[in-house]
Amino acid sequence: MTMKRSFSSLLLLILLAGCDGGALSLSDARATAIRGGCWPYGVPQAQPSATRVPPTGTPTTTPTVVVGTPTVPPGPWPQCTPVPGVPTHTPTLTPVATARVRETPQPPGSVPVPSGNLTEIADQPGVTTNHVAAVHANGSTAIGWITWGWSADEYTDGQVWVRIQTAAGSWTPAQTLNGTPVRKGGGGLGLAWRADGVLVATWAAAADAPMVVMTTADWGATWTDPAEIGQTGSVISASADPQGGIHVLFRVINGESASVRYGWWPSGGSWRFSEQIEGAYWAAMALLEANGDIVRLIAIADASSGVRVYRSVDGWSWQGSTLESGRFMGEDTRREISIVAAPRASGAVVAVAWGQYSDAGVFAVVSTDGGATWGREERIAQHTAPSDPESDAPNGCCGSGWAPTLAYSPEADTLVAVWRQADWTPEHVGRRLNLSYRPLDPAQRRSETDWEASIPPTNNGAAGAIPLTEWGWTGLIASDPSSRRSVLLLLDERNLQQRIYSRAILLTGYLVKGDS
Amino acid sequence: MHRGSVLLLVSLIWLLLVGCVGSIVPTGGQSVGTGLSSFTEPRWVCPSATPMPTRIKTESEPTATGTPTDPAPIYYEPWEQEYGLPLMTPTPHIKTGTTFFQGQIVEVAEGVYAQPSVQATAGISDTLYRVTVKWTNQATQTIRLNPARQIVMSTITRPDGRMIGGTWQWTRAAALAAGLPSDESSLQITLPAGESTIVVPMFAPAAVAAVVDIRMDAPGAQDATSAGTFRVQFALGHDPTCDFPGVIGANIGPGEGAIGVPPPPGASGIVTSALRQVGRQYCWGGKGNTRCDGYGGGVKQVTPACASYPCFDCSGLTWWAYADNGVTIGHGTSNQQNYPVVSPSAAGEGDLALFGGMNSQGRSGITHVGLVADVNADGKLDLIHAANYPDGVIISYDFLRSSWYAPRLVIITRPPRGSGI
Repeated sequence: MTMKRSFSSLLLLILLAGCDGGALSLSDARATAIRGGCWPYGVPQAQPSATRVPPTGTPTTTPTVVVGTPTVPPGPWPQCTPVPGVPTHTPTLTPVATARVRETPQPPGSVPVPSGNLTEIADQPGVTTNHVAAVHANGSTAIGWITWGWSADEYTDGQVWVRIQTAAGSWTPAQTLNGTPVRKGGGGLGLAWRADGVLVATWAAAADAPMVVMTTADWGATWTDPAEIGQTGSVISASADPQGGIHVLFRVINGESASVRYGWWPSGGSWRFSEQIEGAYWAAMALLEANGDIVRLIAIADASSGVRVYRSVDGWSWQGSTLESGRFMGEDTRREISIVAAPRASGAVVAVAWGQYSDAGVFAVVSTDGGATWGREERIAQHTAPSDPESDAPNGCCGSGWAPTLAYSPEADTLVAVWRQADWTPEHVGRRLNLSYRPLDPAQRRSETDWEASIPPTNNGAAGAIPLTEWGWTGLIASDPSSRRSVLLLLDERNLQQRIYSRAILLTGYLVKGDS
Repeated sequence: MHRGSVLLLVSLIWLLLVGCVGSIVPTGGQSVGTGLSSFTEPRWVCPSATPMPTRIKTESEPTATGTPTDPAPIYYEPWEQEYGLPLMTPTPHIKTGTTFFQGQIVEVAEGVYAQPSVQATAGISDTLYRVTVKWTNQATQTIRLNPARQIVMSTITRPDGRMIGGTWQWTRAAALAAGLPSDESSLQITLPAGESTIVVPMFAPAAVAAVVDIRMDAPGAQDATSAGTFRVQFALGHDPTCDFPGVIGANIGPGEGAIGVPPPPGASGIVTSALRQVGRQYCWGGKGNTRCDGYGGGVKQVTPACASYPCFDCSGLTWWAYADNGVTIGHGTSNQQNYPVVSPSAAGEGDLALFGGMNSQGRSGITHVGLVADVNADGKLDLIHAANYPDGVIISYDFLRSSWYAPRLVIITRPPRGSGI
């Protein structure tokens, strides 16, 4: 169908790179205001500088715009003021075109709450990011996150939240660490317990703002003032070593490029920083104590060049190892990497896991000699079969997995992976948290390729893994340095409302083969 | 609309335990059914008066009197705006979700409106807060509330700017300090039809009430468990979209609550597909088949994670509408601008309208694309497009006459497609 319309305002602009879907600017967003008669949510509205009146002689009543002191218009709906000199046109009241249709609310009661002892950490408006959990050997637990969009301006109203469980088991109130709001896409958050029970928090107000450190020795009742550590960047994670040192992994964004860097605050000393570890975005850090040395292990996932682990005993010189990746999925989309390191009866285990291929697969590589040598790539989950002929959905099928986190059970000498699964099949349509495991004793393994409770590519569905939650939940796992205590951080983030829960778990209770 | 006005000043007595007066907070408060038949997605409707002055004139152009003005920003009055004829319909601004602002009138359950506000009085140690909720009950059903349990402050902001989360709620000591009656029978409030007011006194540290919760019990709930509580939260702040507290009983039309807009008679498959997505969320990089994490495949999060699936960005919607009809077109505006060009006078449904401007990197070029259609069959071209976050996929009617879109239109292209698609 072709319709002819007059058109007099064709503006030719130089065609440069397309937006490819880039978010509209403030100016673009005004379009909705003009056509919709209202301002898009979140867009600051300019106010008129003064009241203006129409030209003399206009046949209509002079409209008045009162700045700053609006009044409720009379009647259920206001009337439009006609353009001067044109016939009055009474507007109709059928405003259906721009009605905002949101997701049907899913109140908590509509989704089964995961079984077990849950502690509600927060139920907050907005979007939360940078979730982190830190566990002390004495049972103290700290949960941290950053909330955006709880008020009108999601880009400038960020709050860095922390909630702490004392060694006695009680939870202190949630509190923010920042005195002024932090910026969206900002400085990240890291939490680490020192052995003496001091909780260390590192964060920054923005990616280009100075990172600061705060400590509390009384489970958050009092905090030290924020102290700049001497670098700008975005905190990826923080760790504490048995000798009281604090280690921070952070990234520096420079235009379109990112680099991973490392900082160390030895007990009683001052901050030291290494040179750039690698030009990458996704990274994770773990510490090992070996023969009195603190071994730093930094895992990096780079979309194009693969997965590497850098090892250092002094924080200055680093030796890198490239791990096998792409064994199952060759696409260069490795991201969301995690690492765990723990001593064993002989040697130490180090494991690295990441998500790959449009978040459809979760894979891992394991070392049993403290990171000196590494095994082959193993499969925790592969939700999508790239060329699945049975599927009518793009990219194979309908699921994805991402954000794996790792733990180690010394009692069972077994690695545990927890990852988020999305499944868009009609019977599920949502996300949940899964668990799989891998005994370190080769004799106890059923497959050298897959973990014991995993989701293989031929499955395409939910069976196989051990579900930790019902559909609708995600989260992560964190353990104390001895790997004796583990905590699940659970998220129910529907309706732009954030519900955060914590649950202590005993890993050995999950180490049974799931149905497949 | 029933406008009966009833003022209820309610404070609550909790059973006094020896030695614990003032520190006991009611936690049980057995309900005998909530009276609700189902959850309703809370919503706030702003009347959005005659289109507000929005346009900034940065270039010199004549005024109505013919005198050029200085090239400085000028905020147009409503009567100066170029909306074309007929005048546009005053459209309400509607926000749905679970978070709003204190002072706003929010429909927290079907036909039940709440407008909370907080007043604080500094005390010797703690501050006495009075959380006042004005109710309007248009529902035919009887709504029961336990204000001591269901109206709380959940976040406060200390003078140093740091925020504290928790649950501050009614205590008998606060009721006594406020000089309000404390009758145990008031633990079970039945909202009368029409208007009523509930004042809930509570003690909290000297701070600002940052977030007030109204915790709606699940339909049919017979007891008061936190698992059955649906929280509607009211943050301290100001919505930039509208200065009005909101309206009660707004009829926003039959389309509310449903995804999609019915296609006009004879609409092509591509337009029909796009119309089905009206109301979806905007997500950068979204092409209708990807999870929205806000990163859009990049390394930086540029939009919030989406609560719905699927979601679209501008070129993703046009790509999907074609793909849904078996036609593969290029991704992104950089590819979608390369198809054969048609003039605006020859444009028809299914064509791609591309708009220029500054992108997020400050470079000029094509920054937006939408699908051309005649949605309301009035002979004027409309635009179906993923506008932005959080407006999502919307329809902009008669966009060639839009004072915003028309001057920014750069090109209209027509990807090859089979007849009837």
